[in-house]
Amino acid sequence: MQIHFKAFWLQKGGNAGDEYEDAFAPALPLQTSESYDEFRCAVADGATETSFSGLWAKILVDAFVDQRLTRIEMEMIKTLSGDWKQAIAARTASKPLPWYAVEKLEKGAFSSLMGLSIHKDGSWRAHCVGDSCLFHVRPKQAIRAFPYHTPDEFNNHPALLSTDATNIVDAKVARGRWRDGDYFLLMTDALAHFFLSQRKMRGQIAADALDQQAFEALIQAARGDRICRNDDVTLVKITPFQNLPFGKGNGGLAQP
Amino acid sequence: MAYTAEISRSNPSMFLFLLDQSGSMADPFGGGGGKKDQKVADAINNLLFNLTIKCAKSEGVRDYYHVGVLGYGEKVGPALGGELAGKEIAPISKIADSPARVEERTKKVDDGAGGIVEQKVRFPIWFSPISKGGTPMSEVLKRAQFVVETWLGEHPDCFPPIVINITDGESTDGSPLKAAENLTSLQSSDGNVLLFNVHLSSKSGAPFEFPNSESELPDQYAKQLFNMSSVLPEHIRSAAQSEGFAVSETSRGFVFNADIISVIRFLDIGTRPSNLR
Repeated sequence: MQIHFKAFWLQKGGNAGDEYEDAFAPALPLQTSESYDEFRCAVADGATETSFSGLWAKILVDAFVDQRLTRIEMEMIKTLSGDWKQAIAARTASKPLPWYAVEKLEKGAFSSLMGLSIHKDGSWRAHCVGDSCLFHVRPKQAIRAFPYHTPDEFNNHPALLSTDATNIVDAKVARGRWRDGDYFLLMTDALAHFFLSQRKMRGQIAADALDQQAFEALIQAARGDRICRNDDVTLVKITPFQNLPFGKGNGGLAQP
Repeated sequence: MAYTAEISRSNPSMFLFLLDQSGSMADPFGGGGGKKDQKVADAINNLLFNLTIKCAKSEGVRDYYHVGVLGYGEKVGPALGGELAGKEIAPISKIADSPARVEERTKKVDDGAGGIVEQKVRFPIWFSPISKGGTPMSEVLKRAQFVVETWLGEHPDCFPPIVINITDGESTDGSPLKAAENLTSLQSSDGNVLLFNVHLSSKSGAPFEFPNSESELPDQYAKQLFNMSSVLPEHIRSAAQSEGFAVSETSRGFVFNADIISVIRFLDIGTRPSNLR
Protein backbone atom coordinates (compact mmCIF):
# COMPACT_ATOMS: atom_id res chain seq x y z
CA MET A 1 0.00 0.00 0.00
CA GLN A 2 1.33 3.45 -0.84
CA ILE A 3 0.19 6.79 0.47
CA HIS A 4 -0.15 10.31 -0.83
CA PHE A 5 -0.15 12.59 2.19
CA LYS A 6 -0.61 16.33 2.24
CA ALA A 7 -1.12 18.73 5.13
CA PHE A 8 -1.96 22.42 5.25
CA TRP A 9 -2.46 24.76 8.18
CA LEU A 10 -3.11 28.36 9.09
CA GLN A 11 -3.20 30.01 12.47
CA LYS A 12 -6.19 32.02 13.65
CA GLY A 13 -6.44 35.44 11.99
CA GLY A 14 -4.76 38.02 14.20
CA ASN A 15 -2.43 35.47 15.82
CA ALA A 16 1.24 34.89 15.17
CA GLY A 17 2.37 31.64 13.53
CA ASP A 18 3.86 30.34 16.77
CA GLU A 19 0.45 30.76 18.44
CA TYR A 20 -1.04 28.01 16.25
CA GLU A 21 -2.40 25.38 18.66
CA ASP A 22 -3.51 22.64 16.27
CA ALA A 23 -1.15 19.79 15.43
CA PHE A 24 -0.84 17.08 12.80
CA ALA A 25 1.33 14.03 12.25
CA PRO A 26 3.26 12.64 10.55
CA ALA A 27 5.30 15.70 9.85
CA LEU A 28 5.94 16.63 6.23
CA PRO A 29 7.62 15.72 3.93
CA LEU A 30 6.49 12.13 3.46
CA GLN A 31 8.04 9.72 0.97
CA THR A 32 5.16 8.51 -1.20
CA SER A 33 7.28 5.73 -2.70
CA GLU A 34 7.39 4.02 0.68
CA SER A 35 5.24 0.96 1.10
CA TYR A 36 3.02 0.51 4.17
CA ASP A 37 1.15 -2.34 5.84
CA GLU A 38 -0.42 0.24 8.10
CA PHE A 39 -0.39 4.02 7.85
CA ARG A 40 -1.26 6.13 10.88
CA CYS A 41 -1.97 9.85 10.96
CA ALA A 42 -3.69 12.31 13.27
CA VAL A 43 -4.85 15.88 13.81
CA ALA A 44 -5.49 17.59 17.14
CA ASP A 45 -6.79 20.97 18.31
CA GLY A 46 -5.48 22.46 21.56
CA ALA A 47 -8.16 24.32 23.53
CA THR A 48 -8.01 28.12 23.50
CA GLU A 49 -8.81 28.46 27.19
CA THR A 50 -6.00 26.25 28.48
CA SER A 51 -2.29 26.90 28.31
CA PHE A 52 0.42 24.92 26.50
CA SER A 53 -2.45 23.41 24.56
CA GLY A 54 -0.53 23.30 21.28
CA LEU A 55 2.24 21.33 22.97
CA TRP A 56 -0.31 18.80 24.28
CA ALA A 57 -1.91 18.54 20.84
CA LYS A 58 1.50 17.77 19.28
CA ILE A 59 2.31 15.15 21.92
CA LEU A 60 -1.02 13.43 21.22
CA VAL A 61 -0.69 13.27 17.42
CA ASP A 62 2.92 12.07 17.59
CA ALA A 63 1.97 9.42 20.15
CA PHE A 64 -0.89 8.20 17.97
CA VAL A 65 1.36 7.88 14.93
CA ASP A 66 4.16 6.05 16.74
CA GLN A 67 1.66 3.88 18.62
CA ARG A 68 2.43 5.08 22.12
CA LEU A 69 -1.28 5.94 22.13
CA THR A 70 -3.39 3.11 20.79
CA ARG A 71 -6.45 3.68 22.92
CA ILE A 72 -7.70 6.37 25.30
CA GLU A 73 -6.99 4.99 28.75
CA MET A 74 -5.55 6.31 31.98
CA GLU A 75 -2.06 4.79 31.95
CA MET A 76 -1.28 5.91 28.41
CA ILE A 77 -2.55 9.42 29.07
CA LYS A 78 -0.59 9.55 32.33
CA THR A 79 2.63 8.75 30.46
CA LEU A 80 1.99 11.39 27.81
CA SER A 81 1.01 13.89 30.48
CA GLY A 82 4.40 13.29 32.06
CA ASP A 83 6.01 14.14 28.72
CA TRP A 84 3.98 17.35 28.61
CA LYS A 85 5.08 18.38 32.11
CA GLN A 86 8.71 17.64 31.33
CA ALA A 87 8.57 19.69 28.14
CA ILE A 88 7.13 22.65 30.03
CA ALA A 89 9.70 22.34 32.80
CA ALA A 90 12.46 22.44 30.19
CA ARG A 91 10.97 25.54 28.58
CA THR A 92 10.47 27.40 31.85
CA ALA A 93 13.62 26.34 33.70
CA SER A 94 15.47 29.60 33.15
CA LYS A 95 12.60 31.92 34.08
CA PRO A 96 10.11 31.37 36.91
CA LEU A 97 6.49 31.56 35.87
CA PRO A 98 4.28 34.44 37.06
CA TRP A 99 1.43 33.59 39.46
CA TYR A 100 -1.21 33.33 36.75
CA ALA A 101 0.85 30.97 34.61
CA VAL A 102 1.39 28.64 37.58
CA GLU A 103 -2.31 28.75 38.36
CA LYS A 104 -3.25 28.09 34.74
CA LEU A 105 -0.84 25.19 34.40
CA GLU A 106 -2.51 23.45 37.29
CA LYS A 107 -5.72 23.30 35.27
CA GLY A 108 -3.79 21.30 32.66
CA ALA A 109 -4.10 21.36 28.90
CA PHE A 110 -6.93 20.01 26.75
CA SER A 111 -7.08 18.97 23.13
CA SER A 112 -9.24 17.17 20.63
CA LEU A 113 -7.73 14.22 18.77
CA MET A 114 -8.66 12.47 15.53
CA GLY A 115 -6.42 9.53 14.75
CA LEU A 116 -6.75 7.39 11.61
CA SER A 117 -5.10 4.09 10.78
CA ILE A 118 -5.35 2.71 7.25
CA HIS A 119 -4.46 -0.91 6.46
CA LYS A 120 -3.32 -2.58 3.29
CA ASP A 121 -6.09 -5.18 3.65
CA GLY A 122 -8.58 -2.44 2.76
CA SER A 123 -9.74 -1.62 6.30
CA TRP A 124 -9.48 1.59 8.25
CA ARG A 125 -10.15 2.63 11.81
CA ALA A 126 -10.50 6.04 13.49
CA HIS A 127 -10.37 7.12 17.13
CA CYS A 128 -11.77 10.51 18.09
CA VAL A 129 -12.17 12.70 21.15
CA GLY A 130 -13.75 16.11 20.65
CA ASP A 131 -14.71 17.88 17.46
CA SER A 132 -11.90 17.28 14.98
CA CYS A 133 -13.41 15.40 12.04
CA LEU A 134 -12.76 12.70 9.48
CA PHE A 135 -14.29 12.55 6.01
CA HIS A 136 -13.97 9.36 3.97
CA VAL A 137 -14.59 10.41 0.38
CA ARG A 138 -15.47 8.21 -2.56
CA PRO A 139 -15.39 10.80 -5.36
CA LYS A 140 -18.69 11.41 -7.11
CA GLN A 141 -20.39 8.84 -4.92
CA ALA A 142 -20.44 9.49 -1.21
CA ILE A 143 -18.85 11.13 1.82
CA ARG A 144 -18.86 9.54 5.22
CA ALA A 145 -18.42 12.05 8.06
CA PHE A 146 -17.24 11.16 11.57
CA PRO A 147 -18.06 12.05 14.33
CA TYR A 148 -20.27 14.97 13.23
CA HIS A 149 -22.60 14.90 10.25
CA THR A 150 -24.11 18.40 10.32
CA PRO A 151 -22.77 21.86 11.13
CA ASP A 152 -25.24 22.20 14.03
CA GLU A 153 -23.37 19.59 16.04
CA PHE A 154 -20.41 21.88 16.63
CA ASN A 155 -20.17 24.17 19.65
CA ASN A 156 -17.38 25.82 21.60
CA HIS A 157 -17.54 23.38 24.53
CA PRO A 158 -16.70 19.86 23.44
CA ALA A 159 -15.34 17.34 25.94
CA LEU A 160 -11.60 17.02 25.24
CA LEU A 161 -8.55 14.98 26.20
CA SER A 162 -6.97 16.37 29.34
CA THR A 163 -3.44 16.13 30.70
CA ASP A 164 -5.22 15.11 33.92
CA ALA A 165 -5.41 11.34 33.50
CA THR A 166 -8.26 11.14 36.04
CA ASN A 167 -10.41 13.27 33.71
CA ILE A 168 -10.72 10.74 30.89
CA VAL A 169 -13.30 11.14 28.17
CA ASP A 170 -14.39 8.12 26.14
CA ALA A 171 -13.16 8.02 22.57
CA LYS A 172 -15.52 7.39 19.69
CA VAL A 173 -14.42 4.74 17.22
CA ALA A 174 -15.35 4.29 13.59
CA ARG A 175 -14.37 1.55 11.15
CA GLY A 176 -14.72 1.10 7.45
CA ARG A 177 -13.23 -0.18 4.24
CA TRP A 178 -11.47 1.76 1.52
CA ARG A 179 -10.61 1.07 -2.10
CA ASP A 180 -8.45 2.71 -4.75
CA GLY A 181 -9.83 6.10 -5.65
CA ASP A 182 -10.98 6.89 -2.10
CA TYR A 183 -9.32 9.51 0.01
CA PHE A 184 -9.54 10.71 3.59
CA LEU A 185 -9.65 14.24 4.98
CA LEU A 186 -8.85 15.05 8.60
CA MET A 187 -9.75 18.52 9.80
CA THR A 188 -9.92 20.49 13.00
CA ASP A 189 -13.29 21.95 13.90
CA ALA A 190 -13.43 25.35 12.20
CA LEU A 191 -12.53 23.84 8.82
CA ALA A 192 -14.75 20.81 9.38
CA HIS A 193 -17.70 23.07 10.12
CA PHE A 194 -16.93 25.04 6.96
CA PHE A 195 -16.66 21.82 4.92
CA LEU A 196 -20.01 20.54 6.19
CA SER A 197 -21.84 23.84 5.76
CA GLN A 198 -20.40 24.93 2.37
CA ARG A 199 -21.00 22.07 -0.09
CA LYS A 200 -19.86 24.15 -3.06
CA MET A 201 -16.44 24.74 -1.48
CA ARG A 202 -15.69 21.06 -0.86
CA GLY A 203 -14.12 20.53 -4.24
CA GLN A 204 -11.60 23.31 -3.62
CA ILE A 205 -10.68 21.98 -0.20
CA ALA A 206 -10.14 18.46 -1.51
CA ALA A 207 -8.51 19.45 -4.80
CA ASP A 208 -5.33 17.63 -5.76
CA ALA A 209 -3.82 20.90 -6.92
CA LEU A 210 -4.28 22.59 -3.54
CA ASP A 211 -1.04 23.88 -2.06
CA GLN A 212 -0.26 25.85 1.09
CA GLN A 213 -0.56 29.21 -0.66
CA ALA A 214 -3.92 28.40 -2.22
CA PHE A 215 -5.12 26.96 1.08
CA GLU A 216 -4.27 30.16 2.95
CA ALA A 217 -5.98 32.27 0.29
CA LEU A 218 -9.09 30.10 0.43
CA ILE A 219 -9.30 30.31 4.23
CA GLN A 220 -8.64 34.04 4.40
CA ALA A 221 -11.35 34.69 1.80
CA ALA A 222 -13.78 32.46 3.68
CA ARG A 223 -13.01 34.24 6.94
CA GLY A 224 -13.56 37.57 5.24
CA ASP A 225 -16.93 36.36 3.95
CA ARG A 226 -17.72 35.09 7.46
CA ILE A 227 -18.39 31.57 6.23
CA CYS A 228 -15.43 30.11 8.09
CA ARG A 229 -15.03 30.78 11.80
CA ASN A 230 -11.81 32.55 12.72
CA ASP A 231 -9.77 29.83 14.42
CA ASP A 232 -6.67 27.74 13.74
CA VAL A 233 -7.35 25.49 10.73
CA THR A 234 -5.66 22.23 9.79
CA LEU A 235 -6.29 19.98 6.79
CA VAL A 236 -4.71 16.61 6.16
CA LYS A 237 -5.47 14.65 2.98
CA ILE A 238 -4.52 10.99 2.76
CA THR A 239 -4.89 9.03 -0.45
CA PRO A 240 -4.04 5.34 -0.09
CA PHE A 241 -3.64 3.22 -3.17
CA GLN A 242 -2.98 -0.34 -4.23
CA ASN A 243 -4.80 -2.61 -6.57
CA LEU A 244 -7.56 -3.90 -4.30
CA PRO A 245 -10.33 -6.10 -5.84
CA PHE A 246 -13.74 -4.37 -5.84
CA GLY A 247 -16.44 -6.60 -4.41
CA LYS A 248 -18.21 -7.66 -1.21
CA GLY A 249 -17.01 -6.02 1.90
CA ASN A 250 -15.96 -2.83 0.17
CA GLY A 251 -18.01 0.26 0.39
CA GLY A 252 -19.99 1.02 3.51
CA LEU A 253 -20.14 4.73 2.75
CA ALA A 254 -23.26 6.72 3.39
CA GLN A 255 -24.42 10.14 2.29
CA PRO A 256 -24.00 12.76 4.98
CA MET B 1 -27.26 38.41 15.91
CA ALA B 2 -26.22 40.61 18.84
CA TYR B 3 -23.56 39.75 21.37
CA THR B 4 -21.65 37.52 18.96
CA ALA B 5 -18.67 39.73 18.12
CA GLU B 6 -15.32 37.97 18.29
CA ILE B 7 -13.37 38.85 21.43
CA SER B 8 -9.70 38.98 20.49
CA ARG B 9 -6.57 41.05 20.94
CA SER B 10 -7.37 42.99 17.79
CA ASN B 11 -11.01 43.45 18.89
CA PRO B 12 -10.93 43.44 22.68
CA SER B 13 -13.91 43.91 24.94
CA MET B 14 -14.18 45.73 28.24
CA PHE B 15 -15.15 45.15 31.83
CA LEU B 16 -15.84 48.10 34.11
CA PHE B 17 -16.30 47.32 37.80
CA LEU B 18 -18.01 49.77 40.15
CA LEU B 19 -17.11 49.22 43.81
CA ASP B 20 -19.30 50.51 46.61
CA GLN B 21 -16.77 51.75 49.20
CA SER B 22 -19.30 53.67 51.33
CA GLY B 23 -19.60 53.68 55.11
CA SER B 24 -22.60 51.31 55.08
CA MET B 25 -20.33 48.59 53.71
CA ALA B 26 -18.84 48.30 57.21
CA ASP B 27 -22.06 46.57 58.29
CA PRO B 28 -22.24 42.78 58.57
CA PHE B 29 -22.83 40.72 55.42
CA GLY B 30 -26.18 38.94 55.55
CA GLY B 31 -24.75 35.85 53.91
CA GLY B 32 -22.46 35.31 56.90
CA GLY B 33 -18.72 35.49 57.41
CA GLY B 34 -17.71 39.10 57.91
CA LYS B 35 -18.50 42.57 56.71
CA LYS B 36 -19.78 43.77 53.37
CA ASP B 37 -16.60 45.71 52.59
CA GLN B 38 -14.59 42.49 52.85
CA LYS B 39 -17.08 40.83 50.53
CA VAL B 40 -16.65 43.65 47.99
CA ALA B 41 -12.89 43.21 48.13
CA ASP B 42 -13.22 39.43 47.81
CA ALA B 43 -15.64 39.83 44.90
CA ILE B 44 -13.43 42.16 42.86
CA ASN B 45 -10.25 40.23 43.63
CA ASN B 46 -11.96 37.02 42.57
CA LEU B 47 -13.33 38.57 39.38
CA LEU B 48 -9.92 39.94 38.37
CA PHE B 49 -8.31 36.59 39.25
CA ASN B 50 -10.74 34.63 37.10
CA LEU B 51 -10.55 37.07 34.20
CA THR B 52 -6.74 36.91 34.29
CA ILE B 53 -6.75 33.12 34.29
CA LYS B 54 -9.24 33.04 31.42
CA CYS B 55 -6.91 35.21 29.34
CA ALA B 56 -3.63 33.57 30.40
CA LYS B 57 -1.71 31.52 27.83
CA SER B 58 1.79 30.02 27.67
CA GLU B 59 3.42 33.29 26.69
CA GLY B 60 1.54 35.57 29.09
CA VAL B 61 -1.88 37.18 29.51
CA ARG B 62 -3.60 38.03 26.25
CA ASP B 63 -5.39 41.36 26.23
CA TYR B 64 -8.79 40.05 25.23
CA TYR B 65 -10.18 42.53 27.77
CA HIS B 66 -9.44 45.97 29.01
CA VAL B 67 -10.55 46.54 32.57
CA GLY B 68 -11.49 49.52 34.67
CA VAL B 69 -12.41 49.84 38.34
CA LEU B 70 -14.24 52.88 39.73
CA GLY B 71 -14.74 53.22 43.47
CA TYR B 72 -17.53 55.23 45.02
CA GLY B 73 -17.89 56.30 48.63
CA GLU B 74 -16.14 59.31 50.04
CA LYS B 75 -15.30 60.15 46.43
CA VAL B 76 -15.86 58.76 42.96
CA GLY B 77 -12.91 57.83 40.81
CA PRO B 78 -10.47 55.22 39.51
CA ALA B 79 -9.70 52.70 42.21
CA LEU B 80 -6.78 50.74 40.77
CA GLY B 81 -3.58 51.19 42.74
CA GLY B 82 0.15 50.87 42.33
CA GLU B 83 1.44 51.55 38.81
CA LEU B 84 -2.14 51.80 37.57
CA ALA B 85 -3.23 54.42 40.11
CA GLY B 86 -5.43 57.04 38.50
CA LYS B 87 -6.04 54.99 35.34
CA GLU B 88 -9.65 54.47 34.38
CA ILE B 89 -8.87 51.51 32.08
CA ALA B 90 -5.93 49.15 31.68
CA PRO B 91 -5.32 46.02 29.62
CA ILE B 92 -5.86 42.83 31.63
CA SER B 93 -2.18 41.93 31.26
CA LYS B 94 -1.18 45.06 33.17
CA ILE B 95 -3.66 44.27 35.91
CA ALA B 96 -2.39 40.69 36.08
CA ASP B 97 1.14 41.98 36.66
CA SER B 98 0.19 44.46 39.36
CA PRO B 99 -1.56 42.91 42.37
CA ALA B 100 -0.64 44.58 45.64
CA ARG B 101 0.46 41.16 46.92
CA VAL B 102 -0.09 37.44 46.24
CA GLU B 103 -1.35 35.39 49.18
CA GLU B 104 -1.14 31.65 49.46
CA ARG B 105 -4.43 30.14 50.54
CA THR B 106 -5.76 26.62 50.89
CA LYS B 107 -8.87 25.47 49.15
CA LYS B 108 -10.72 22.17 49.12
CA VAL B 109 -10.99 20.59 45.68
CA ASP B 110 -12.46 17.47 44.20
CA ASP B 111 -9.70 14.87 43.74
CA GLY B 112 -11.58 13.27 40.86
CA ALA B 113 -12.01 10.02 42.76
CA GLY B 114 -14.90 10.98 44.98
CA GLY B 115 -12.78 12.59 47.66
CA ILE B 116 -11.74 16.08 48.68
CA VAL B 117 -8.16 17.24 49.01
CA GLU B 118 -6.67 20.50 50.18
CA GLN B 119 -4.79 22.39 47.54
CA LYS B 120 -2.59 25.44 47.91
CA VAL B 121 -3.60 28.26 45.60
CA ARG B 122 -2.09 31.60 44.89
CA PHE B 123 -4.59 34.40 45.47
CA PRO B 124 -3.60 37.83 44.24
CA ILE B 125 -4.95 40.81 46.12
CA TRP B 126 -5.61 44.01 44.25
CA PHE B 127 -8.13 45.56 46.63
CA SER B 128 -8.50 45.77 50.39
CA PRO B 129 -11.78 46.63 52.16
CA ILE B 130 -12.75 50.30 52.22
CA SER B 131 -15.91 51.70 53.83
CA LYS B 132 -16.20 55.45 54.19
CA GLY B 133 -18.60 58.18 53.12
CA GLY B 134 -21.91 58.13 51.27
CA THR B 135 -23.06 56.02 48.34
CA PRO B 136 -23.06 58.25 45.25
CA MET B 137 -24.32 55.54 42.89
CA SER B 138 -25.86 57.92 40.35
CA GLU B 139 -22.59 59.79 40.14
CA VAL B 140 -20.50 56.67 39.56
CA LEU B 141 -22.93 55.47 36.88
CA LYS B 142 -22.54 58.81 35.12
CA ARG B 143 -18.77 58.48 35.36
CA ALA B 144 -19.08 54.94 34.01
CA GLN B 145 -21.10 56.27 31.08
CA PHE B 146 -18.29 58.68 30.24
CA VAL B 147 -15.61 55.97 30.49
CA VAL B 148 -17.60 53.49 28.39
CA GLU B 149 -18.54 56.08 25.79
CA THR B 150 -14.88 56.99 25.32
CA TRP B 151 -14.00 53.30 24.96
CA LEU B 152 -16.76 52.70 22.40
CA GLY B 153 -15.48 55.62 20.35
CA GLU B 154 -12.20 53.69 19.96
CA HIS B 155 -13.73 50.20 19.69
CA PRO B 156 -17.04 50.59 17.86
CA ASP B 157 -17.33 46.91 16.86
CA CYS B 158 -16.43 45.34 20.18
CA PHE B 159 -18.41 42.78 22.09
CA PRO B 160 -20.42 45.21 24.22
CA PRO B 161 -18.76 46.34 27.46
CA ILE B 162 -19.99 44.76 30.66
CA VAL B 163 -20.32 46.98 33.72
CA ILE B 164 -20.55 45.14 37.06
CA ASN B 165 -21.72 47.13 40.07
CA ILE B 166 -20.89 45.58 43.46
CA THR B 167 -22.93 47.30 46.17
CA ASP B 168 -25.36 47.10 49.06
CA GLY B 169 -27.69 49.17 46.92
CA GLU B 170 -28.32 51.96 49.43
CA SER B 171 -27.76 54.92 47.11
CA THR B 172 -27.50 58.32 48.81
CA ASP B 173 -27.59 60.58 45.74
CA GLY B 174 -31.09 59.82 44.50
CA SER B 175 -32.47 57.10 42.31
CA PRO B 176 -29.77 55.61 40.09
CA LEU B 177 -32.31 54.28 37.55
CA LYS B 178 -31.96 57.09 35.04
CA ALA B 179 -28.18 57.04 35.12
CA ALA B 180 -28.31 53.25 34.66
CA GLU B 181 -30.61 53.63 31.65
CA ASN B 182 -28.29 56.18 30.08
CA LEU B 183 -25.35 53.82 30.55
CA THR B 184 -27.10 50.82 29.01
CA SER B 185 -28.38 52.88 26.10
CA LEU B 186 -24.77 53.05 24.85
CA GLN B 187 -23.95 50.45 22.25
CA SER B 188 -21.36 49.00 19.95
CA SER B 189 -22.31 47.56 16.57
CA ASP B 190 -22.79 44.26 18.41
CA GLY B 191 -25.33 45.39 21.00
CA ASN B 192 -26.04 47.49 24.05
CA VAL B 193 -23.75 47.89 27.03
CA LEU B 194 -24.63 45.38 29.74
CA LEU B 195 -25.03 46.40 33.39
CA PHE B 196 -24.96 43.61 35.96
CA ASN B 197 -25.39 44.10 39.69
CA VAL B 198 -23.96 42.17 42.62
CA HIS B 199 -26.09 42.99 45.66
CA LEU B 200 -24.28 42.37 48.94
CA SER B 201 -26.92 42.81 51.58
CA SER B 202 -26.97 42.84 55.36
CA LYS B 203 -30.27 40.98 55.03
CA SER B 204 -29.91 37.28 55.53
CA GLY B 205 -32.08 36.18 52.60
CA ALA B 206 -31.19 33.10 50.52
CA PRO B 207 -28.69 33.78 47.73
CA PHE B 208 -30.16 34.44 44.29
CA GLU B 209 -28.50 34.15 40.94
CA PHE B 210 -30.02 35.56 37.75
CA PRO B 211 -33.64 35.81 38.94
CA ASN B 212 -36.53 36.15 36.50
CA SER B 213 -38.51 38.81 38.31
CA GLU B 214 -38.23 41.20 41.24
CA SER B 215 -41.03 39.37 43.07
CA GLU B 216 -38.50 36.80 44.24
CA LEU B 217 -36.34 39.46 45.94
CA PRO B 218 -36.41 40.44 49.62
CA ASP B 219 -36.30 44.26 49.71
CA GLN B 220 -36.51 47.56 47.84
CA TYR B 221 -32.76 47.77 47.27
CA ALA B 222 -32.62 44.34 45.69
CA LYS B 223 -35.65 45.11 43.52
CA GLN B 224 -34.14 48.40 42.37
CA LEU B 225 -30.81 46.79 41.49
CA PHE B 226 -32.65 44.00 39.69
CA ASN B 227 -34.56 46.52 37.59
CA MET B 228 -31.29 48.29 36.75
CA SER B 229 -29.73 45.03 35.54
CA SER B 230 -29.61 44.02 31.88
CA VAL B 231 -31.47 40.98 30.68
CA LEU B 232 -29.02 38.15 29.94
CA PRO B 233 -28.28 37.99 26.19
CA GLU B 234 -29.09 34.70 24.49
CA HIS B 235 -25.55 33.31 24.28
CA ILE B 236 -24.87 34.06 27.93
CA ARG B 237 -28.24 32.61 28.89
CA SER B 238 -27.48 29.40 26.94
CA ALA B 239 -24.11 29.10 28.63
CA ALA B 240 -25.78 29.57 32.02
CA GLN B 241 -28.37 26.91 31.20
CA SER B 242 -25.71 24.43 30.16
CA GLU B 243 -24.14 24.91 33.61
CA GLY B 244 -27.42 24.18 35.33
CA PHE B 245 -28.62 27.69 36.15
CA ALA B 246 -32.41 27.98 36.02
CA VAL B 247 -32.58 30.96 33.68
CA SER B 248 -35.25 32.15 31.26
CA GLU B 249 -35.66 34.90 28.69
CA THR B 250 -36.44 37.37 31.47
CA SER B 251 -33.47 36.49 33.68
CA ARG B 252 -31.24 39.43 34.47
CA GLY B 253 -27.59 39.85 35.29
CA PHE B 254 -28.23 40.24 39.01
CA VAL B 255 -27.08 38.21 41.98
CA PHE B 256 -28.07 38.64 45.64
CA ASN B 257 -25.60 37.67 48.36
CA ALA B 258 -23.73 35.55 45.81
CA ASP B 259 -20.82 35.96 43.45
CA ILE B 260 -20.97 36.59 39.72
CA ILE B 261 -17.82 34.69 38.72
CA SER B 262 -19.87 32.41 36.47
CA VAL B 263 -20.41 35.28 34.01
CA ILE B 264 -16.73 35.13 33.13
CA ARG B 265 -17.11 31.46 32.21
CA PHE B 266 -20.11 32.29 30.04
CA LEU B 267 -18.08 34.62 27.80
CA ASP B 268 -16.63 33.10 24.65
CA ILE B 269 -13.01 33.67 23.68
CA GLY B 270 -12.63 30.29 22.00
CA THR B 271 -12.85 26.61 22.86
CA ARG B 272 -13.48 25.92 26.52
CA PRO B 273 -13.57 22.18 27.24
CA SER B 274 -16.81 21.03 28.80
CA ASN B 275 -14.75 18.84 31.15
CA LEU B 276 -12.49 21.70 32.36
CA ARG B 277 -12.86 21.61 36.14
